[in-house]
Amino acid sequence: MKIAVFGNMDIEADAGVEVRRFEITSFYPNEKIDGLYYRIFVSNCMPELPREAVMDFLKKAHDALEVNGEIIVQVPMAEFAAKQLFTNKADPITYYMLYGTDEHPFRACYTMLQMRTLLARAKFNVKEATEAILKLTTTDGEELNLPVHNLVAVRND
Amino acid sequence: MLMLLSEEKSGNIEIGQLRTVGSAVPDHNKNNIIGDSKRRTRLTDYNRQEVTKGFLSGEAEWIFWMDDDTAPPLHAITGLLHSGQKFVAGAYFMTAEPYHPIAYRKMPDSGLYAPVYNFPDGALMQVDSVGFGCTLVHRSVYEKIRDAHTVFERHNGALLVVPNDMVTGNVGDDYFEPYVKDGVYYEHIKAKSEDDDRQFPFYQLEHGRTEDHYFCELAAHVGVKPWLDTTVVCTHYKTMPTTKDNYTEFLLKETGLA
Repeated sequence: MKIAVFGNMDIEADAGVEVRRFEITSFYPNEKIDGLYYRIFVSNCMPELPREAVMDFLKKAHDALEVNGEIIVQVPMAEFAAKQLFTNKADPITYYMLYGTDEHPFRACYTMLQMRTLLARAKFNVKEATEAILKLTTTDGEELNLPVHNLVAVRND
Repeated sequence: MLMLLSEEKSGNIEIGQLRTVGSAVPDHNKNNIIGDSKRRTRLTDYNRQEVTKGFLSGEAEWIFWMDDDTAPPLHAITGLLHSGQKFVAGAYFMTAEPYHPIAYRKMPDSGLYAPVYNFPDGALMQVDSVGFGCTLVHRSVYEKIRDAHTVFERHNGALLVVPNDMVTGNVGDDYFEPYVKDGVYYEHIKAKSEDDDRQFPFYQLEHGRTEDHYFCELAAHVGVKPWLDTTVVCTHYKTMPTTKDNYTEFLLKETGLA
């Protein structure tokens, strides 16, 4: 069994599970060479894609999954960031959620409803769409809590 | 009806039977049942049990509950079905402030229920209790509940459902009046007799709570918790319709954004 991971996340795979890491901007799956994945994690990197590339990525991810395979997507909560701005409570985390970093600039941000709509358009069935906190560690070793949307969707053709 | 027709037209769902709980008279509401061409005057829990009895005696895989004061959107069943969850509800909102959806989380310190509130649009989340105004349940949930519980008769004749793994020892014949000792309530119960034809009480109005809390607790005993899909949004009718707009407007005001 194979798992594909996009984004800089720690993952502990069970014995016999192969973990492959990819850059979200350069994902070119080939079923004949790579086979299919039973799970794809996309953690905090979807916003790096230009808007016009998002559906293309999700369709590729869909086709790279086994039937009944799952995609897990975590994106910074656009609603939370917007609320912080509108109530004058924006802090560095807020700006990170909206703009990313110099190394990984964000080109879009997503509400939960937008993310669900995109997954549905890519023919996924969303089985969970909840709020979560992603623990980030900065290069200085500082730990940050990032509010994210956590969506689990299934390919069941 | 248009909603049900839309499901058939979409081609994914076959509507097997309609069992209606009707109310031409507003005050009677869902506490009146029209089932099998008979009109009865019973409470919601009885009516839900009767409908469940019909469902379980048929061949349908799913039961979709829709209250007569709740108007689900087109393709509500398809939407809920796509979640892949066995017990999932759409969102309909309380008819008074703060207009929260009828879905709750159990507070760990008290066991009481707190409404789900201030969630992002589009959330599909596991909760502890939901209303049954727009709710899809798989047959297996009812079957698991029935198989994992024992039904007793309480001292007052009401039925009591207890998870099998919480039952030990034998039921005695010596009747006694209920009493409290050292903060523990004691009550004589007896096995439900074989000629008692009452249905398995999947729903009970008790302790001033609605019957749906009761079902959710039975389901939790067998490891099934309800999900709330906030993309399936209903209108809730009382004297005036309550919609998601009421909830959103109140929430924005409360958070200083409107």
